[in-house]
Amino acid sequence: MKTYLVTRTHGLILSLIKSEEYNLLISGKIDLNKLGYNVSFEKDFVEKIFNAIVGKFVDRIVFLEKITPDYSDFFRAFLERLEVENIKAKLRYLRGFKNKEVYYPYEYFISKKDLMLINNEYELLNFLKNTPLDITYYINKLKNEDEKDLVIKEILLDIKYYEYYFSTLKEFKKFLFPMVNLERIITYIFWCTMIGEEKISKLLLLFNIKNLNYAEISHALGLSKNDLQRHLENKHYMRLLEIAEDNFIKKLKKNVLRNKDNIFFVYYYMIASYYEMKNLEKILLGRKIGLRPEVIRGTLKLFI
Amino acid sequence: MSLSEIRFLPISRGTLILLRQKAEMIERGKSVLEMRREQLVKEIFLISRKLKERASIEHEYIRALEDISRLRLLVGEVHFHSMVSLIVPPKIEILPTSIQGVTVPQARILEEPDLSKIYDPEFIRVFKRLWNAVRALIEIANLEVAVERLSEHLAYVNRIVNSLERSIIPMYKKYISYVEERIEEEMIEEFVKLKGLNEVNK
Repeated sequence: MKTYLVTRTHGLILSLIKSEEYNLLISGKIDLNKLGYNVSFEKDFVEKIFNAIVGKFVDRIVFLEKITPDYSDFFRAFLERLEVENIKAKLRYLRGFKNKEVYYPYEYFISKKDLMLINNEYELLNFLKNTPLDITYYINKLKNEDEKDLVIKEILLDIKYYEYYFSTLKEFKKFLFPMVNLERIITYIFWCTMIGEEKISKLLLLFNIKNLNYAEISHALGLSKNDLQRHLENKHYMRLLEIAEDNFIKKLKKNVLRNKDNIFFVYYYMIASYYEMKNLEKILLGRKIGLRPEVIRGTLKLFI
Repeated sequence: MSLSEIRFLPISRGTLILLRQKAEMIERGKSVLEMRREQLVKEIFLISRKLKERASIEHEYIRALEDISRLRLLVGEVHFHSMVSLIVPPKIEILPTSIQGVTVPQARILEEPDLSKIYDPEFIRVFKRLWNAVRALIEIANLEVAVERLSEHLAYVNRIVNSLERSIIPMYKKYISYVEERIEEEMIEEFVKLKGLNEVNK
């Protein structure tokens, strides 16, 4: 089954959008419906295109799940990042100015309909109680002032998500741990710039997770300690995240050369599909806003 | 008293005095309006100088929008949209104000946008930049509306001054001289009549 999955993935990866096709898409010389999507940048509404792009990504991962139901947990945990984003968005909508709510069209533990009907944080946290994303226990452990903080809840969700994601790696751990760990480090870097290393460490301790230090982060990112410190102090997280993501993709591409016949290749395909979704979302928004092609191109992460 | 009514006034010294008084009052009114016109022109010039900043403010506004668009692309629609919902929008009211006696609607910022719920420094930076540009644009828009309304009023004053200068005052002058001539003719006529009567009586 595993061999079949890897072999199938070798075929599936050929259907992903290539860099020259992205260029044609940005310049409007080719439409999305010519690249295996059922929507058109020219004719369809943004929401429909956005749903189709995310839907395609979800379908690709669900297809892998269908081939190998034994690894279902891992594939679902990978997709769960979309639901975590939806939950974090809901937390913000609950505290924010009433507006139209925008979510990823993906539901597994909590349906989109339920998510939209939720009226307060208590209800939302109660919904999460029966899922691997339950953070109530950790919120209760926090001091009063932190308990109310939106950012702390979002961090707890991310920590919980990675805990869940790691738990599904099982026998793939030896292949995938370094890369999934790098994914986690990238997320923690983001939170480090928001609330500082000290607070992050305290939150990680709640989960009995070893604290990440600057040496570990800088090594993972391929940055010197001073450069990392400078970026964190200036709160230039966008630049830092860009470096982190580039480094992540570089490592992924390097490792896949040695791991073409195991689950690592499947993981590579999953990440490439994820970035295809992100890239198409950027092109869609960029074209809608009317950004210059070079600005859109500068934000893309290209794999193939 | 309308202009058409003047024609029906009796030719008399009283009418002449009345017309002269009227003409003098119109001249005074015209000079007052001319002074007002100068004041309005001065005010418009003064405001127009500030309008030169519009290009740089628009440039800053476009750059702020570009920053926001880039951030929107980088973080994705779901994250961006939900983060934006944390911003409490500003409150702006349109109030009628008086500039040189002319009523001009002016936008007044009652409440600045509240970014306190946003924890992301990048969002705070780009939205602060955008708000600063928008605030400057509101100021410029206020000045533009003021220039527009003052210009409209200036055109109105100009029309009145022109009409006084080119139509009403010359008409009064013409009529006064007509009445003067008629009174003089009547005086000569009276004089000739009196002279004739004196000769008959002799």
